[in-house]
This record gives sequence, C-alpha cells and structure tokens, in this order.
Amino acid sequence: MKLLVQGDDYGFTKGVTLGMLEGIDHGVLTCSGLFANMPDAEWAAAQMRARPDFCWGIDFNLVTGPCCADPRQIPHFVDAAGNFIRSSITVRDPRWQSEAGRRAMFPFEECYLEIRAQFDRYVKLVGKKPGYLNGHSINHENLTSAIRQLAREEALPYTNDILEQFHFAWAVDIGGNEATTKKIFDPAAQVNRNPLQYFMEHADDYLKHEYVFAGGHPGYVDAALFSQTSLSIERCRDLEMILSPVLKQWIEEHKVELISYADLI
Amino acid sequence: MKLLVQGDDYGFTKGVTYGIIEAIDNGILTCTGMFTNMEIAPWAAQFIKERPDFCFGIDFNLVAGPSCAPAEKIPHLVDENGRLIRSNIRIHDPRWQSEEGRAELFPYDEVYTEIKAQYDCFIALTGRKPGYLNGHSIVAETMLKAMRKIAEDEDLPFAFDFMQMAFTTFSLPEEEEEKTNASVSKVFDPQAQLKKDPLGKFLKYKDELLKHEYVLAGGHPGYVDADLFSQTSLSIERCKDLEFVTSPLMKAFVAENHVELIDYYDVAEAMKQGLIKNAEK
Repeated sequence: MKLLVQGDDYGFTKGVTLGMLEGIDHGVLTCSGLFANMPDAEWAAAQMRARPDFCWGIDFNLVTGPCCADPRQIPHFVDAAGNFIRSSITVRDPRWQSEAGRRAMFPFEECYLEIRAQFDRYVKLVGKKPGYLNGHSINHENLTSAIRQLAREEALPYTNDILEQFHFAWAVDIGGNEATTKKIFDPAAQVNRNPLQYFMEHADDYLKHEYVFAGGHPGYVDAALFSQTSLSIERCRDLEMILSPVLKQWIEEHKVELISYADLI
Repeated sequence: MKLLVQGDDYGFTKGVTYGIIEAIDNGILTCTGMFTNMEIAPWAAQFIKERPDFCFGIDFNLVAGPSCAPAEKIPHLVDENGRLIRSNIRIHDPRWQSEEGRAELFPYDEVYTEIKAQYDCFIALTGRKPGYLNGHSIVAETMLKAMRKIAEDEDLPFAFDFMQMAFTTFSLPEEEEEKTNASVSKVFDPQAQLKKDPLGKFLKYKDELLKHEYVLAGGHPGYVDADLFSQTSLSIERCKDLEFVTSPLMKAFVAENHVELIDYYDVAEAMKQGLIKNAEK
C-alpha cells in the first residue's frame, strides 16, 4: 500500500506553519500546500526553501486573508479592503445552493486571475514551481476549471484529478465535522476529534488498497485562527496523528510506502 | 510603571515552547520559567542557550511529567510509572484541605529532593543559573519552604515574593465569562477558555494599572498542541495569553505610556536596594 499524507493550509498562521514543519521534520507528512496570499507567506517560504526535497504544493485560497490579484479586478469575492469574503458567509448565500449561483458568485475569469496571481507569488517567494495544485476550503465549478487550466498551462498535477486518476481510497474522517462541511465552530467537538483513532480503526481496510490518501490540517493552534476560520482547535489533533508513534509503527510493520505527488508524475 | 511580563511553563510541550519563543523574540515577554523535568527539556534548553540575555527562570513542577529525582526517593510525589501525580487528583484528596494533610501529600524532604534535582537539571541543561525561582500550579506549604530554602542558598529571587509586592493582573476583577477557570477549578471547559481575553482585560484596566509602580502581567503563553490535553486542564487559553504578549496593541501601550519592561534581574537588583516595598499591594 502506498500512503500519501497531505497537510493543508501551510502558512495560514505562525502556529499552523510551525506545526506543519514539526509534522514534516518529525512526522509522516509527505506533502503540504502553501497559502501564498497570507502576510506570513514570506517567512513561511523561507522554511520551505530550507527543505528543498519536500513535496511543497500550493493551496489556492479564495476565502481568507488578502488577495494577490488587483482587488478591483476580482470584485465578486473580496471586500472593499481587498480581503476575501469568508466561506462561512459564502455558504449562507442562497445562490450557493445552485451551480449557476456559484458560478455567479465566483466568475471564472476572476477565479483564474486570482489563482494565477497566487501561483506567481508562490514562484517568486519559493524560487520554483509548486509540486502540485490544490483548492482550499469550499470547492466550486469555476475554481475547479480555473485550477485545471493552470494545471495544463504549467504541466502540474491538480490534486482532485490525480487522486481520482490513481483511484485513491480516502482515509479521512469527515463524518460530523461541521467545521469543514458547515463552517460551524464547536470547540468541544474539535477538542474531542480523534483522527488517529479513526485511522487505526480502519487501518485493515486501507491495506487492501494500492493508493490511500490521508490528510488534514495539522498545526499548532494560535489565536489568529479564531478570527479567520471555523477550523481551529482540531488542527492540533491532526498534528497529533501525523506525529503519532502508533501510526509510525503501523506504517513500518505493514511496509506501507509513504509517497507524495512527486511519485505520481 | 515598571512592567514584568512573565510566561509560565516553558518546555511543557513543543507547542508551548515554540509559542514562548515567539513571545520572547516578537513580543513583550520579559521572563519565562522552565519545566526542567519534561522529556523535551534538552530540546527546550537549546533555545535558552541561544538567548543568553533573556531572563529564563525555573518553574518547579510537582504535578506533570516525569520526576528529576529517582522515583524511589520521592514515593509520595509519583505514581507507579514514576510520573508526578496530577494536580486535579491532588486537590480532590481530602487531605489537601488542611495544612497537615498537604504536608502528608507533599512531605518536605521529598519535595526538597525533587525541586533541588530540578534546579540542578536546569544548570546541567543550560549551563547557567536560573534568573528566578517560581512554583507551578498548586503550592503546599512544604513547597514554599523548599523553594525559599533554594532561593536563600542560591541568592535568587523567588517570584512569589515579587507577587506580594507588585500589583498583579491576577488581582484584577474576574470577568463573568472567566468564572470556570482551569487554573482554579482544574476543570477543562473549552468554551470558557476560548472566552478568556487577557488582552482586552489588560487594556480595559490600563488606567488603574498605570497608577502602580510595579505591575506583574502573568500568564501561560503557548501554541496549543494535543499533548496538553492529556496533561493539563489549562490548554486552549494558552493561545490567548500568547496573543496578549505578542499583540501590537500591547506594544503600543508600552511605547505610549513609557512603560519600562523589567525582568527578575531588575527585580533582584531593586529588592537589594530596598526600592520595592510591600505598599504596592
């Protein structure tokens, strides 16, 4: 079995960045995507350059922090100050319920302009192209199309497509996770989440597959998260899993091969 | 106003350690006390060595992690695995209610043996003496006596003495939503910890605080990691304390009011010169 372990939202906050680095240096994380638009991205990129062999990608983020494109050119999803409109607000817009509505909220040209600007900033900060392209938070048709176009232009893998192409089995506990699905913040539920236990309970099933995807949002929790996302406290549970000696031992015992997107292209 | 900004529990977990380093390098923290007994202490000590001018003290910890002294020498303080017995178990022992009972739970000789071992461990790990001594979590009379003995033997300031003399942020009126506080009740309430707002509280009372010559702002800054949940009820609120000590608003407050940031080296000097008086309280 080949296991790809992906950590999303690298560079979101200092706590997330330091936690992710811990997961890379001392855990089983095999790839991680940068938020190129965040104020701390430059500092985060310096840590990436210090780990040139790791599979770094880009997480296109259209829901939190400042935009990379000219805000006047992407008026549909940024506020007057050039900050993205949060996903918790977007999913409560009645238009979000239909494909036509989602396309109206996120026009293709604007999606492409912004992700192209984030891609260019990534290359500028890191000094090379990302290893993969990934969409952050809420997915919608025009964002997917824009990422596909950029993936073609740059000859880079798009996570959604390549995972499907290789028939990856999904080893992620999304049940009852309202921070991800409904953008609702329930602190006690996040504290009590246990992705490690979920993984180990299903571990025998995973071994039957050739390719398995495990992933999450590992990070230390800092206060900067609370004002920007409903997915906060549970990040330290994802980090716990990535660092867990139990998981490492299971990987070794079952001769699981840890892979990244670099192994798929 | 002279402001001492103290961050407790350095070296407790990796998240706490990284958070305190952030508060040292990019915040207004002036001193922090180390847990020398944790497994990660040698790793945490390397950042101390890299910051020779910062005031690192020691937080004597008798309630979390492994002991520094051999377990057989301190049988009252450790469980069958050689780990220090947690405070939430201690305070529910009926003996905790009386001084005699507390001395039974924490016999003086064993307490002294363990904190002396933690003290020696600090020097072995960091290559220097701590800048101050401090007691962590629950404090029995026998611990006070043992800590005072080391403070006298080593001629080092004891944080509790300064807390008696300075005005501390702990003595500010309790906000309604803080009533179920982990440091007092040892009960973990995630929602209440999230509502903690040390930054807002400090700024709310800033005019009163500015009237005092010596003020101690204390807390437990850190990033939150899962290792905390299994070892302490004080977890999520650590990131709120970190927000407080790294906040641009606090830096502006310090600059605008010409606040002098001080550490225990300054306190020790002022105490020797008789400049700090009990009248502050």
